[in-house]
Amino acid sequence: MSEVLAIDLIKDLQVYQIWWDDSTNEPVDIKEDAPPINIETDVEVKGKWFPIRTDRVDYRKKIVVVDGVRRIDAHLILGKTGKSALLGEFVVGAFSLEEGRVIERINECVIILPPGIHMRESLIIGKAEYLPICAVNATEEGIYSSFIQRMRERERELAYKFSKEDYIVIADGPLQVPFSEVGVTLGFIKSIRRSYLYGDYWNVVLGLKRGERTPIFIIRTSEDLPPKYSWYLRLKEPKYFESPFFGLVRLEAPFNLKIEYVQDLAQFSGGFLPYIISSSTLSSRAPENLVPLESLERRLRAMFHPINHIRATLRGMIAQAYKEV
Amino acid sequence: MRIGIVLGTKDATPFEFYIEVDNTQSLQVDDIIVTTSEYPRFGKVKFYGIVDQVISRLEGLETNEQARFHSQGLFDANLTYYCHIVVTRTLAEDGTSPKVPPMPGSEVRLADTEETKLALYFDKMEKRKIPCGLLSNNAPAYLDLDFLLGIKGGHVNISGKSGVATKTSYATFLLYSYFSCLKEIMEAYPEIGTTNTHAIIFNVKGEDLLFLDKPNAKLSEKDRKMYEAMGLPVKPFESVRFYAPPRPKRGQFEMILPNTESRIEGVNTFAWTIREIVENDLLWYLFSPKELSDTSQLYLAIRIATNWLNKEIKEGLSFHSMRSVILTLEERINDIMEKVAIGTRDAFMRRLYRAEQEIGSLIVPEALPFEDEDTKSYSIDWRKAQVNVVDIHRLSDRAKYFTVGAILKSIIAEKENTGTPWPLVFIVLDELNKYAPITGDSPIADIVLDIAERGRSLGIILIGAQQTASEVTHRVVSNASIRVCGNMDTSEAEHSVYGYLGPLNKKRVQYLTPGQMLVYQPDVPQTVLIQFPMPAWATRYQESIETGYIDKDFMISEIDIMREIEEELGDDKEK
Repeated sequence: MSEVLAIDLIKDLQVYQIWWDDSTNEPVDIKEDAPPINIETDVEVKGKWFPIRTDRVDYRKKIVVVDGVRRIDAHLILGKTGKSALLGEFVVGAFSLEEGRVIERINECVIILPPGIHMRESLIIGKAEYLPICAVNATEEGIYSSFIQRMRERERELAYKFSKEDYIVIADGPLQVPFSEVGVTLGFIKSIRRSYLYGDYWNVVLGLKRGERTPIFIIRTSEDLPPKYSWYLRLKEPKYFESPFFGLVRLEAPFNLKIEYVQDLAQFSGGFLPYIISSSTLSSRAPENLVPLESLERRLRAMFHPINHIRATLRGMIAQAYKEV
Repeated sequence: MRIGIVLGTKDATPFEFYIEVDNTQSLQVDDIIVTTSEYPRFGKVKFYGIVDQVISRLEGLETNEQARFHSQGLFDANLTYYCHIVVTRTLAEDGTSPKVPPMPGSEVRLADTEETKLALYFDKMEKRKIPCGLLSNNAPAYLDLDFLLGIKGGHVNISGKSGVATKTSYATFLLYSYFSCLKEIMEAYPEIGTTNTHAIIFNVKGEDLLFLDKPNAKLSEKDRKMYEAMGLPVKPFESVRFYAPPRPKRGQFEMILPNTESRIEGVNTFAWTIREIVENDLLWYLFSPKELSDTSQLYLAIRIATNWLNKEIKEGLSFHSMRSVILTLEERINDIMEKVAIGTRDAFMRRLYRAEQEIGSLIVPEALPFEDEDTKSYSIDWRKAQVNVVDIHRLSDRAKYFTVGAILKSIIAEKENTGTPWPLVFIVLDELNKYAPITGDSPIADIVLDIAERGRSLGIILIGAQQTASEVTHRVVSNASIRVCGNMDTSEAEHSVYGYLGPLNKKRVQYLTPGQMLVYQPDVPQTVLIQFPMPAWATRYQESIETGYIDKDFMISEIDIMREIEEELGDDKEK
């Protein structure tokens, strides 16, 4: 597509104003993590809980870590309606623990449009091709969550692809719906912002030592969605001045797996995850951020188109679009 | 064959740039590469360059911790293998050399043989060149004769540690290359006319050079191939004469035999008569540089003594040995040296006595009654052969100074008289740090310096060598257009005299193996590494016999006879 066409698209959209705010690039995961409606604690251990020890295993197995990074390139104000659109880019990829390197990187540029506004073709700015996507609603939050959703879908597709190739997939963040299509994927949740367990159960969680996990429990988030298995795992013990949440992660496994297999997975997760945690010099989210995750994220970010170039070109194109007016 | 691309993450300039090597390829230091970029004004421009550094690293890592995680398979990084290229030449299609940078992303190839010639300007030398070794890609490297023969420059200076296949070997190899190409050289340089070229090699170590005229029976197939690749024949030197000093400790009428061990056949003896020393003003060289610098008045004493001896010899006095000179001088010293302080007279005599101990054996009586005309002269006639090996390795330092000084002086005098630089004479002299040290002044240093500075116009080309150029008078080294460097300590290479090596070559000198040399010449902007073959001629007796060139029995009987003679002489003395 030529630049002339891109300028026409800009005219069609009546893009007048652009702004950007880089501080919203890495928002917290909390919005994605829906509150549970029911927890079953007796799926693995009936009655009183106790920490379960795991034995160390070699991580150099057919395991991939899947993650994505995103960037908002620009917010656009369309016409006189004040509706906004979003230009964004994300990269999803996978790190193979067997090969010790990033084995897949896919990037996608999208323009998220409020409902009712359509684009004939992708918008090309420099070498980036922004695919038009329709948002669920016209609010700023709706547009943003559509962007996140798009990336999550791509992540899930990638996870599914690898799980079909007999990989055990560790995906950053909670499992994505539909769970039936995620294969053998473990959701890896770094931020403990919501307590799923209370009382004695929660005391077991906080008392976990390094490499220990809780018994498996089941989380149901809504009537429509299938439940998921989950367990807490301690990657590193907090020092006296650190929060009891320090070094604590929660894992999720799809409900369509047999409980015995999930038990194996839980043991397995405890056998190597505590040994591939990052240090505070490597990651600002240490120790919960795994080394391969940190590596993957860095390599994924390297795939972004140069932001200054994109923004400058976009400004130029908008100016060009209204030149004769 | 594509080997990589020009990098865009580092500055590419007309003089240097970086390339990233494809992961299926590899490049090493000294490889010669070519890349092409196109420019609106100049069209397609080819860049020729030499790899002078190769680097591999994990890109994008900031800490050693990350590198450790990478080694554990937990952290990904881009493994990059890239090289620094020194551009030797840029060439547009119209033959001009625009100074433009190569474009990032341009494909880089290894240079083929023809491109290698262009990269190192061998094409510009046309026929005025001789092979000087093989490059890392086994293409021949050439020396520009314009800078060897004194046309635009002259002299060669070789630095490096002593050892196998080092300085003298390389100097000899260059002479071999020169004499093998002599016919072509004479065509390329009509001014040479029909004159031959000669070389005088001062042999300072072992008797390696006494078999230059015998083929090396133990030459490996690999070395033969190297000669072939350079277009050089595999054979010994064709026209060689050997000279050795006389054996010491002989009586007045005893036989004068060359003081060599492994070979006697075909070895001539060199020596001087007192008449030659006096007439050619060689008395200076009987004194060591240190003695001369310690006593400033000594110069006057030597001058007076020379004048007096000259006068006496002209009047018919003859001396058979140093001892006779000393005795005569001692007797008359007070008359002859009236103007010289008594202390200086004593010093002069003392030093003359010491000189006699070391140099006395180099002095022969004027005429021996029983010797025929042919062997009467013990002087070195370098015109009789292309290569003249003068063995001085058994001589003391003082005797070496004397021999080298006397021979060089006579060559200069001879050349000055003829008034033409042709025929050319190459002088191969190792241990320049002894003859022309960085500090101090002496007649021998003067003569070496004279050759370095004036030799080009006289047709005397110095192929000088030393372990450490930092200890040699800078004027001698800086006058050499062609500089060669073999294995040496990096600390030595840090001296400014090795500036031509460039920073990276300075670091690698200590890794050079026997047969490897870094060669610099003025019209090639980069010092190149070459490999030269083992000699095609024998360097010891054992290497030469198996070819049948020397009859083993004959050789042994020669030595035996000589030993017998010696024993007899010894017996006579005892009686």
